[in-house]
Amino acid sequence: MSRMQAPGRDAGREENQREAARQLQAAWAVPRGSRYWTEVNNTQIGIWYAVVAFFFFLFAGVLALLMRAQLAVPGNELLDAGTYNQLMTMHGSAMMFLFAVPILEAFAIILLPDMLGARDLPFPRLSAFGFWSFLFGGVFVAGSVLFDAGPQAGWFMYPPLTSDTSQSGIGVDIWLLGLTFIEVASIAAAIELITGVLKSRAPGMRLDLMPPYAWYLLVVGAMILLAFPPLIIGDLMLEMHRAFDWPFFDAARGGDPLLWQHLFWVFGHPEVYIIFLPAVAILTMVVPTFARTPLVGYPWVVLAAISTGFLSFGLWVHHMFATGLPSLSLGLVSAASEAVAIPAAIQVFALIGTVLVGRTIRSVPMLFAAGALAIFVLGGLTGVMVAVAPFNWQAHDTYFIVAHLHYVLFGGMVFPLFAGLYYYYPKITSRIMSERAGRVAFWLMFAGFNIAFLPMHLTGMAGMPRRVFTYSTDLGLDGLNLVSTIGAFVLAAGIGLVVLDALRCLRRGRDAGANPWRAGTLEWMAAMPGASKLMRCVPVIEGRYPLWEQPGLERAVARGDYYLADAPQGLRETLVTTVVDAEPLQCLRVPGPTSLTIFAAAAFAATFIFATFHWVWAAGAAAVATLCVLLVWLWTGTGRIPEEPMRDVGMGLSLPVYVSGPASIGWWAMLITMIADQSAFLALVFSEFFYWTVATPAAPAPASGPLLAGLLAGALAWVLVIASRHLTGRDRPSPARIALLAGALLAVGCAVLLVVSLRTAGLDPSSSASAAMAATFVLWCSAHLAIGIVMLLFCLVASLRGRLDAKHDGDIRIVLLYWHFLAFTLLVSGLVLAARGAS
Amino acid sequence: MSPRGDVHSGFRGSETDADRRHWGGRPRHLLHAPVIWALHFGFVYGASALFCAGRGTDIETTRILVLVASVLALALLVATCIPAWRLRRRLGAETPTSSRRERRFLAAITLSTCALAGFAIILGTLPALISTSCS
Repeated sequence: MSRMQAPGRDAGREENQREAARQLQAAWAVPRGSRYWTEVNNTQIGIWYAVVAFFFFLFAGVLALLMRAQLAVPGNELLDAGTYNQLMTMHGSAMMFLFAVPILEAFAIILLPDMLGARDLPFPRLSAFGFWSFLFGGVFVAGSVLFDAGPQAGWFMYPPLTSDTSQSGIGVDIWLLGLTFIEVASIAAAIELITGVLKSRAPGMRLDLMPPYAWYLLVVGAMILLAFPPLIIGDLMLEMHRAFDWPFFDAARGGDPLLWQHLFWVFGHPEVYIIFLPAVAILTMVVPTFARTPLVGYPWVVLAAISTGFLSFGLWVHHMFATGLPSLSLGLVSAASEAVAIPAAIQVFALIGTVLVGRTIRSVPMLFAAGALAIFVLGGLTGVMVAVAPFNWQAHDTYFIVAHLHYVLFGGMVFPLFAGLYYYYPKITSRIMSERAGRVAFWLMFAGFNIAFLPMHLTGMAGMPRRVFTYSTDLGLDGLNLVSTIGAFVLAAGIGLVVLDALRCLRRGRDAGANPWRAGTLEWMAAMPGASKLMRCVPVIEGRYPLWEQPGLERAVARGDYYLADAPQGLRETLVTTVVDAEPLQCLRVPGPTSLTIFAAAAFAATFIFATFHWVWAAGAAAVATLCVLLVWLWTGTGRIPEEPMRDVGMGLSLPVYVSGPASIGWWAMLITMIADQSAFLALVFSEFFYWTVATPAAPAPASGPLLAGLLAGALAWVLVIASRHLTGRDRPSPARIALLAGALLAVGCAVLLVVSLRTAGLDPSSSASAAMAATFVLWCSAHLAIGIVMLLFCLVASLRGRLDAKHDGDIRIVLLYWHFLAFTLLVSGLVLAARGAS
Repeated sequence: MSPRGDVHSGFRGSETDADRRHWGGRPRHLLHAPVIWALHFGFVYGASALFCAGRGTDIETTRILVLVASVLALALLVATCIPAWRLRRRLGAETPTSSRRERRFLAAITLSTCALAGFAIILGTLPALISTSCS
């Protein structure tokens, strides 16, 4: 083992170190003035993201207070029914889509880079795009309430109420399209988180040494990929129903409103865990720090995270217990609903065990953590109750459910989030929030919450229905309702106090220093001096709590003894490591500030907003604008050939700057995107089979001749893309280009033939749900073919401009990966459509 | 602590390529139990929807289908478990290195996800065993 020269002896070396530090600060400097908003660094984006999401929390909270004010006394006339319905719908929708998911993603992109020892996650521009999409979409959706145009049908948007345009106004379109847009942003964040956790951990941070937080976020990212796409499919189907009269949910034309409930809840139930897991993840970071001991049962917690992740997909039907499903299905889902209590309990016991084993210090974050566990356990117990079908039928649509879900969400998400706010506030602002104000705020929140929601168990059991704007005094629940309202305002007072204290402490808070809680994880390592809070260099990790277990680590990092201690070309760089062992693999150039992400999000938002008002041409133009901005973004920001192939990252190691295939993060991002895409496709296939099981009249079949010819053209195109990738690999550019062009032409032919197969059979999508499904499959394939064609032409231009050769074949390999999935999609769609002809 | 100059060549420890490929200690094995559970769940749900509601009400057919699926799913879980169990024991007997600890950790998680998925599968089979009719 060779030891490096002791630092500080050589004046020249010190000067070099100072110069290297100056380079790093310059490369990562946040732009000033109006260009400030073009920053894309994840930490910065995460802070904006969190602030905006928290603002939506306050907004949705005010809506809740208005509802509670309305319900304070029976027969109240403060709000009319329509307004109340808008507030109720927006409260749920905003809390779920505009607060809970985004703020936890924001926490993740702020914390993960430092926690993993990365300078940044691999796709900062994608995060920036996600943030701007979220901002535009969120303002659009939430703002609708202010113009009395908000959706009124509840956050679950059940048809036939919502598929009937005469009974539900533009609010439903705003909800469907605005939130679909935000779901796209969430999927973008999931891609960033998964790739980040898998590929940008500090060298040596093996899977068993990752902070538990990273494990949780990995699971949550995977859940987002699988859960959000079915809802996007549902949203699009419902919007097609409303806009073009494709009768997916119209029973008279072979549709079924229950299909929407399946698609919604197969998203909606995992959604609860998508917000619960990252919040518990915060607790797994907070509790060990104050217990002064490593997390008890780390492997058990990882097991719990993974198994909660998969079991949560087996619970969706328990939201549909009252819809008349066969008792066997109810039993199956009831069993899965109870099984999920096991991993939930493992997590609670691991946290309690950590407190018992350690020498726990009292603090405001721990107070919130304790409150979270107490509330969550109560919510979990009522959860097991409502998992039992017969009890569920009794409690269905009553305030008992309102109480249950708020106990789960406050205990499982809000209180952990506030624990995280108090815990990480010093990391972000370098100041500590007031201990005294924190205690008062906690007790106000804890007491207010229980005063508000505990009585709802009783009102619910006594028969108070939920989602009603008023009630009669005959119910005999006046007193309990008034108590709930008082509690809601006490809770709000507590939250208000936290907000005021957080604002006050930005300037007046006590100075925190680098590691005020004396935590052991990497995110609390002292940053190098300078405006950008940067780690001096990327360390080698040997334990789960490096600051506790690796003495001298901070000094060695501060000296710049490890990797990437300089930025000689003034570029932002981070290390890419292998998935399992975290061996250094690549020195990744991370893109810097750009306004492209803002333009892309704005154009994309315009597409959805115009579509809401059914301005088809304007929406089409905005979609083309989005595509143009994305192409500029891809052309200028990705796949560039570096001037020097290798970069000396320090410690005697040189790493390639350009890698392709599975070694590259772009390939992983495509793989992850396509998993989400396949999840959406699976939802389509599920819908087809769903109609089949409810035995709708004979499904119309597309014309078999053009269908087969189209599929054959698609298969040939796929083979040509494979050929082009191999020809590129052998440095034979001309045939490779011909293959690309021919592939693109065949893909056009495939799309045209698929459409012709519908036309020839005289299939009218508005005639029946089944015909609409056939058209949807063709539309889905055609849209994917169009994207595939753009990709092939992009590679063709890249090849002609000398950016694609045997050594730099990243683009074509990513495109080929897309085409593998496209070929699979075509195959399955072909089988589904051909099966209609056979049956 | 001083960083080691040779650290980046030492990430693999003394592990050979054969070790790295060894069945039972890779991250993808963590997905086996969830996938088996999901397939089983989807099958049971589909079988109930088809044979107990949509296209017929035959509890006996459903019961047999569910039982066969459950036995198959449990057998697949056992097949995932055995190599993970062996790997865990083999690595436990050797001098621990960071690489071996990681493999052992992954094998342990594979085993425990199998156990939980097995429990969930048995729980999901019970309604088909207990129910006397489809309604």
